[in-house]
Order: sequence, then structure tokens, then C-alpha cells
Amino acid sequence: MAGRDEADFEAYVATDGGRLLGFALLLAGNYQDAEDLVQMALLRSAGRWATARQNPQAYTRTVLVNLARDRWRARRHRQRETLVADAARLPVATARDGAAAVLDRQALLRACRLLPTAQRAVLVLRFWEDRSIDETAAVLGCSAGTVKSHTHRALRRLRAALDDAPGSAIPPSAPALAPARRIDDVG
Amino acid sequence: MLADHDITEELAAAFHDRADPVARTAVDPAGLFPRGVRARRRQAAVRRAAATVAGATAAVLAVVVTANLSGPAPAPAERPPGLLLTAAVISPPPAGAAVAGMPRHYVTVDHFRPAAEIRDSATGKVLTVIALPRRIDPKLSQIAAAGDGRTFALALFSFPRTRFYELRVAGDGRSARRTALNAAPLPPGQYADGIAVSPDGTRLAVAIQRDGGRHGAVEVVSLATGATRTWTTGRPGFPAGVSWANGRRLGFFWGGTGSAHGGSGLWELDTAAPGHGLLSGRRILPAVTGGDTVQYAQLTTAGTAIAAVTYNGTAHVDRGAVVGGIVELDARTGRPLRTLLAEHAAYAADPGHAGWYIGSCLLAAADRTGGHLLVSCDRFGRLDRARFTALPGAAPQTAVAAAW
Repeated sequence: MAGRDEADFEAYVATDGGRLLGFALLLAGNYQDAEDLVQMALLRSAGRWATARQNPQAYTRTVLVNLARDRWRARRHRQRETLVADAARLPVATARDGAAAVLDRQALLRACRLLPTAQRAVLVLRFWEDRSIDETAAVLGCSAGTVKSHTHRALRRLRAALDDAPGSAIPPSAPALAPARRIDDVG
Repeated sequence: MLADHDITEELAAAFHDRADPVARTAVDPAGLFPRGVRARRRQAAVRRAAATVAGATAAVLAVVVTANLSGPAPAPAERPPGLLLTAAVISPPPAGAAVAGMPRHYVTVDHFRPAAEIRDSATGKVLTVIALPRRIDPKLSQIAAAGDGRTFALALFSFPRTRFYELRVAGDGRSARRTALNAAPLPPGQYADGIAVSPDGTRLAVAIQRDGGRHGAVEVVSLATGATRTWTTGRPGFPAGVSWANGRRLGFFWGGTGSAHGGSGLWELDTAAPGHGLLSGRRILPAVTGGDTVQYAQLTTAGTAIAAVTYNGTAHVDRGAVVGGIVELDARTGRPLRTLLAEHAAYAADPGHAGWYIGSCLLAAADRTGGHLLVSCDRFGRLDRARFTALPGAAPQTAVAAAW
């Protein structure tokens, strides 16, 4: 039985491993982190193969997204991760002609790195893996509405970044915080 | 104005340019399955062992504690050549003794949604969920306890600024009020990587990342007047967290970058001394000590430092060797005193491959004395004087912004 499980797992990795690595690369932004994420995600999936085998593609991606999220939070404990792009390298359109602006794809990828992990994951699942909203929701374990709102917010932030003048910070996508005093009572 | 269609089309093209070549590479699954299964079994074994230990008598434990504290480190063959992780692994005291003085509540800030949760320390049960502003980026939130069990400081980032708040929790933990602190927001482009409230509750220390991580600073704000004092350095890097040893000495974990990487580690700053040089004080603990890498460390008011340590895989590791954990150190000398929680290698590994099994314990929070910690290793939970108790609400190895 265990031998069959292992064979099934290896068959899955052989089929989907490369795609998973690509997914991790777009999520993490660099190959080294992507490899680490894939290895960890596969190890965890192997340890829970009885569950994972029902939908290994979705399971490993869910694990991978969670691991990527944790890395963000863990940045202060582990490797240093820059929180903001170099102003001079902020994404801008390389040529502009109204709505038909030709976008610098590298700049677009850099702008994606500034998005929260969940929003980035939604974009990668939808626009690289060509998954539907429902499929994306299933992978991420959230509702279709959440996928839509993540997509909307991510695109809004990317647009703000791309519409901004070169060399300046990404413009605010949200109004300022609530008034300074006495914000809420809970309980 | 760019339309969504323009962006998604170019985005898809950019994704394909970047990832399609990688997606065509083959990932070698050899050995992954048994490793994953072993890791899973190891977690189950740790749970069973914890249950067994809980049944032991206090007298036996006391003997073991004494023996371990005074005894030599285990045989070198069982340990990698690290220096910090060779500190004796102490056995936990009885539960009653371990939890004495434990804060009643702890507060976590979820990085999936804008909310803080007040939880019961004994059970981890959620007592109250505090809604935070919807516009904040939750994963950039920071929280610190004032030490009275009821007052917490929050740093919340909402583009483009980080603002500071007080969270005042009712005695029963079932309600809270959030108000703005008398501290100026950080300017755009600066991010709080850690905050700490002084033991007397009058000052807030902030670890700041600037210039996209190229530089950093530490600020101490007087909460009565809003007056701010700032320490900076020209060396590349930034502080990853702050902690007060007393009303004067402030610790911060410096992560140097580039040529300054060698200066990384736990530093001490005398906030009463003149000058504004961030690295003008003393480095208590280097980030790399022998074969051990300190992922994060902070000072306590008990004259100790608590460090999350992993072995960096420079030599062969035997199965069962201590390859990571939470270590308590003497803050004066940097000498390791004891290992409060040990992570063991699930299998033997050769140099350079140790990272495969290292779980990397995260130190989520420490109370002032360092006697009660919130950690995230195989499981998230409390570490009360080396006694671990799993708590709900966070996945294993999840980095949680927490305080108590």
C-alpha cells in the first residue's frame, strides 16, 4: 500500500512538479525561494498523502501559498526581505498611449512583488494557470467573492503603480485611516 | 487610464515569459515521499512524547531538571558542531510551577485579515476579536505588550504610513478599546519591523526599515510628549525587532546586508547615553555562532536573552541531533544557559542538506521575564519555562504577530 502511495506521489510530482515550480517562482519572485517552497510543499503533501491525493494539484498549491505567506511574516526572523521597491525601479509604463500603453513586463512582475501574497496567488492562478474563479477559490480555500475582490484590488494596485509618474512611490489605493482618536469599542 | 484588460493581458504574458521555461523543468521526486512521511510521523511522536512527559511525577522531573542543568552536554556525536545548541536541553518543570506568573491573555494579529484576537493564555480560546481598519496590510502589523496584561501597542500599516495605537483590554479579556498613541506616524517609505513598550509603559521603541531595506533605525518615542529620539547608522541593514532589558537598555536584532552582514546579531543600545549611533553599543550575540544561526533574539528584564536558533548545516548531522530550538542565554556574556525547546533531526544529513529537515522555530513573543514564550515550531503554543503547551489558532511554523 505504501509502495503504491509512493508511486502515485512520484507520478504526480513528475507530472505537475514543473508547473508547481513555476507557480512558486511567480509567487516568491526568485528561483531559490521557489525551490525551497516547492520542496517544503511536496514534503508536507507527502506526509498527508491520504488527503492530498484526492486533489494533489490544489493541495500542494494551497500548502505552497500558506508557506509563502508565512515567509512574509517570518521575514524578521529569517532572511531579510525588502518591504518596498527601490524608488528608481518602481514599475512604470515604458511607453504610454492612453489605455494602449505598452507595459514593461519586467516592471509588471516587480510590481506584483509588492502585492500581498494572497493577491499575488490569485493573479498567478488566474492569469498564468488560467484557472476559473471557482477553481482559484477552491485552491485557496476561500470564496469566489474573495477571489474577485483580491483580483480587483490587485489590479487596482497594479494600475496605480503603473499610472504613477516615474520615480515616485506607489500612490495610495485607499483613503487615509480613520480619525486619530477613539476608533472603536469592541466587546 | 489603463483598463483591467490591458493589465491582465500583459500580466499573463509576463507570467508566461517568466515561468513557462521553469515549468518545463523536471522536479525529481526521489526520496521526497519517505521524508515527508517520516516528518509527519515525527510530529505524531512528539505529541505522544509530550503526553508521556506530562504524566511523570514532580519528584522525578525535579531530579531530571537538576541533573540536566548541572550535567555536561550530550555526546558530540549526537549534536552538530554548533555552540548555542549545545546548551543542555532542560526538562520541563511540573505544569503548576511552569505557568506561575503567566499572563492571562495574549493578543495575536492575523496576517490574513485585519483583526486582532484576544485569547485566553491557558486554553488559547478566543475571547474577543478586534476589528482593525480594513485598509491595513495585516502582514505588516506589529504588536507589543506593555507588561500589565491589559495594555498593548499596535503598529498598523495603511499605505503609505505606519501608525501607532494602544489596545486596552478589559480584565476579563472580553472587550477592548483601541485609541491612537501619541506617536507620529512613520513617514512613507519607512516600515515598523518591531515595537516594544518600555517596562514603565512610558516609551515606545520602534525598529524601522528604510530605503527599501538598505538602511534602518531605532526610534524611541515618549508617549507623554510625543518626543522622538532616533538612532541610525550608515551601515547597510536594518533592525528586525526591539526589546527592553530595563528602562534604559534596549536590545535590537540587527540584520546587516552586503559587506555589513558580519555585524548581524543581537545588539544593545543605552538609551540614556548621548549620541545617535545605532551600532555604537555592544553586540551581545552574533547572528552566526559556530554552526548555529540565530534567526531572532531579544532581551528580557531577567538579564537573559531568548534566541530562536537553527543549525546551519555545515557538517554531517546524525538522526536525533538537536538542529534547532529556543535557547536562553546570559545577556551579559552571550553564553548559552539552557535549551528551552529542542528540535531534533528526523534523519541523518550531509553538509549542505540539513535545511531539508530543520523546522525553524519562530519566537513569536516573550513576556518581560522571558519565562513565558509564544513559539511556532512543529506546533504553535506556549513555552512556559521549557514546558510546551500547544495552543489553537495558528498553523505550525506560522509566524504570528503576538504579544503578552
